[in-house]
Amino acid sequence: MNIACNSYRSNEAIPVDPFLKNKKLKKYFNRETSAALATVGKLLGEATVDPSSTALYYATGILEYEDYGLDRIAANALDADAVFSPKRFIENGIAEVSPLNQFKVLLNMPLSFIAIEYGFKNDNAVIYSSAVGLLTSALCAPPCASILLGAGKTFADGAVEMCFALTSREEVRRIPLENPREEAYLTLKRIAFKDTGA
Amino acid sequence: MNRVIISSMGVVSPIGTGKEEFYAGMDSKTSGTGAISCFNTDFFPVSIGAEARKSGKVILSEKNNDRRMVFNEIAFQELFSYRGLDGYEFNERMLIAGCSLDHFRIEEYAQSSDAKTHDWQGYSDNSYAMFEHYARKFSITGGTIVNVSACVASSQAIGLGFRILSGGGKKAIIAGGVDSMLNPLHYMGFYKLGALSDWKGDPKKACRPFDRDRRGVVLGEGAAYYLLENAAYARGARPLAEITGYASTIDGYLITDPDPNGAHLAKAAMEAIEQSGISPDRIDCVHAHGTGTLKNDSAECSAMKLIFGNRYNRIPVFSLKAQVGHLIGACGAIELAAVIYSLEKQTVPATVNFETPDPAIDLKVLRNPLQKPINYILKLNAAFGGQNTALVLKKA
Repeated sequence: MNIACNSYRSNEAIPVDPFLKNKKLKKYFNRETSAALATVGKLLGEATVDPSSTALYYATGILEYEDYGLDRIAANALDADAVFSPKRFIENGIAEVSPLNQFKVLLNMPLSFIAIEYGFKNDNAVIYSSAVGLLTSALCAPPCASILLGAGKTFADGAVEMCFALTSREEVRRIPLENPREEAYLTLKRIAFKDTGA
Repeated sequence: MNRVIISSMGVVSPIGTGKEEFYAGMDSKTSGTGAISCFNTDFFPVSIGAEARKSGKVILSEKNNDRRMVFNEIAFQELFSYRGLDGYEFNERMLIAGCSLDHFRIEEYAQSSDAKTHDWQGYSDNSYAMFEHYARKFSITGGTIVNVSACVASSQAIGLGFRILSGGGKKAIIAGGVDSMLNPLHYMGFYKLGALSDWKGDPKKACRPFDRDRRGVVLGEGAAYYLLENAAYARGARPLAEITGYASTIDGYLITDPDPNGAHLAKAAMEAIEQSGISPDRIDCVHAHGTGTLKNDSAECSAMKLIFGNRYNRIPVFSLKAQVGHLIGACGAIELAAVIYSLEKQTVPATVNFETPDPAIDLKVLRNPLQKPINYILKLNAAFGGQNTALVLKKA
């Protein structure tokens, strides 16, 4: 199993440009999508992967971070008495948020952008949180040349953990699941550090 | 491959709650779309939605609360009223569910002191925790998996349940989904994407799948869950339908648009049909994703040509979304209830609000229900971002 992990501190820039063929896509990315693209780029490097025969599964961590503009919406939605006003919510809150920010909310964006960037067309799923969901999806994958398995987590302070593995069903079957409710990024990170001896 | 049956269902939808109400809504071609009443839309640029109803009335929930909780409670109760899990050990019971975004209490947060310190997490209702709560409550303790693949989340959840069971073993899998985008923040998020129908006339006509004058999506809400069983272990079950094939693909095209050629939606369909051990000419009708957007309906028509060749405009096509709206993370699950309706009633329903055919979409969309022998149905779904699913269902 080839595996790559990246960790980014809360205010650390995530350099994704070197891994993008279409750099215009970057405007849609939140920190998690940027980290996912950078980590897949690091993993695949010069590797030859048949995107038409690679299944792609991604697990995103329990939501703790947002860069949608929530605070601006919330602050602008209050009237003079600090009471929520639907009128101000629409005219002063939501109106100031770019439509592009909606792409930072949808949880399938990391997987979708990886598919666009690398041409993956095959079986896929986006799982919320748990390692058991991610690994079960991979174990039930239809016959394919390889499986790209990823998991990420963006913490409340903006720090990001991201791991991707290029693997097979046989290798996934051997992954020990210590806690079925464990967030998937922790499972992949444990494998990565065990594999590298770190 | 083991036979996988659907042996019970629980449904909460804008055209009724419970199988009987849902079927009655199908029979009467009811549209559940209308002016939103579950939150204040006075200043909203659009205000049409499809709210979940029971006995003809919008299901009430406490102000600002996560309506998905109410829907889950009702849907699980109904599912288990038809058939329980007594024949399965606790570790043989799994929940695999789809949804989209965590519910967020924006009004409460905005007025709180937490908004000054950006401590918003306590106002976000975590979907994983919600499903774990219901899994515990209904003794489904063999694992919980939550799929968040946008508009294919629940069809992927059902597909994964099918894969687990068709691979063998004794398990009871509750698969389906729940969603509600009918809250100020999420509703306006979809508006900002330019996805919502701006239909100015009767709100019941706002979602118009495959119609020339289609104007976009109407957001809906509800829940649908199914008990999936390996037929070999389903003693005493009265199957509602059999799942015979499932596949998922990704367009990898544009983030905003489906592939206009529908190539990978068609590929998913062909794989699911092949897995069913049949050829496309054995499919009796198609229950489409049919959002009522310009690009989705057109891409789906392209996919139909690839799947069925010269037969593409002779095979009846149906979309439920004019009646229940777009349930996003639960749309595949709710639409599966219409598939089961078609199989049980041997009827292809009329697509509500299909009035003027689009010359560019020459599919056989029906204005009146069609009675005909139906053995196999192809169910298609597609997600914002390019994910596609296809399920093949067989008459039980």
